Amino acid sequence: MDTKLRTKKGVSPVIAALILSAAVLAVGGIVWSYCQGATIIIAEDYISGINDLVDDISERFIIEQVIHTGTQVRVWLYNYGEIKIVVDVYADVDGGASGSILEVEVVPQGFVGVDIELVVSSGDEVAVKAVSRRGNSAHFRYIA
Amino acid sequence: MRISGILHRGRKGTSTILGTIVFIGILFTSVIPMFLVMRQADIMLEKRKFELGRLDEEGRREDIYLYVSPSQDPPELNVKVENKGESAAKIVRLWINDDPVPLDYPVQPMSGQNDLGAYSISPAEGSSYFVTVTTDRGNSVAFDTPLTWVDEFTGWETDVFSVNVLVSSLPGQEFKIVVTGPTSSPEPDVFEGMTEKFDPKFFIVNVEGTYLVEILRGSKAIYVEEVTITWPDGSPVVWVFA
Repeated sequence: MDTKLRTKKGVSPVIAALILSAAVLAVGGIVWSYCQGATIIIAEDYISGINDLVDDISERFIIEQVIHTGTQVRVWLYNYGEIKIVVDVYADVDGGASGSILEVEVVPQGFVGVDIELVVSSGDEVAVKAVSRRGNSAHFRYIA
Repeated sequence: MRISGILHRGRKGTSTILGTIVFIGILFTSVIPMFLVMRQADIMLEKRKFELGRLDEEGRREDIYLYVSPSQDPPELNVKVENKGESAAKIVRLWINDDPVPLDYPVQPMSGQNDLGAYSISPAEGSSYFVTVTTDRGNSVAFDTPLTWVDEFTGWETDVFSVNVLVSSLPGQEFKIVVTGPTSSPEPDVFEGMTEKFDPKFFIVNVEGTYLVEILRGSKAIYVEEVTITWPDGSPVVWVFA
């Protein structure tokens, strides 16, 4: 008779197992959805960073020509790359004045001339620098 | 020994199994795809770097030569271009002093001198004209010497006549170059110089005419060519490629 009582299964262990399983599923589900969201965001950020890096290294531009009139320096930019660039152009007369023009947009294969207000005399050496917003630069040395 | 004790110890925890399944699910549906996507982005970056490196190398290997000869009536500059590089180039712009002329002219390698055309200008007396071309790879090539418009009676004049020599395909490293001419002269001038492979040598000569160019390795002539400077009908600068 004692053996018969001891072999009878109780209800509470089953319920405990059910409750524990439900808790694991609930917490697991929450953790799962959190991880999915987090990994998607991490991956998107990483891809965005890589795309920015690809754009950075894809820029190709030169200062093709520099011309001056008495009060202006015209700088010709040529973008021979495959992406649009935004550049800031600076011109410095050696030992003299300087000027700049900001946010010049040049489309791919585009050729743009920009004017910088700068008084240049014949024989002056002008250092011209174009710096893109992505950090690439081109230089030109011009003797008036 | 109690049988029920044995039965209780043999029962496995279902929550443990569920927890393991959840963990494996997170690993395979979130973490591993994230790493795969990041790896794909890295491959894309490396591929782009390789492509750009190749394009930059093509740009460095571009080898364009410019020849300019003037016409007097009407005043024009005749421009020719030669591609001595390995890949095709495209001329996108011609500059005559400060004036750009847009072009879209492909130049195949080893195709000789290609005629870019004649460009009319309104020259001012005493003004010099510099000619430059720009390629689609961002390279600028200038003609070696400016051409000066004297007046409508005299026409054009040039500062120099030049025979330029570039040795790139002959065997050896050091060469002696001898330029003799004009061959029509009873006492032709002789210009000599040493050069190395891929190092251009420039010989400023006094007059137009036909010049004999000899390239020697040691004392033995390994290359001989005659070139003619026909001024003003031709360019005041000629190139010898050996």
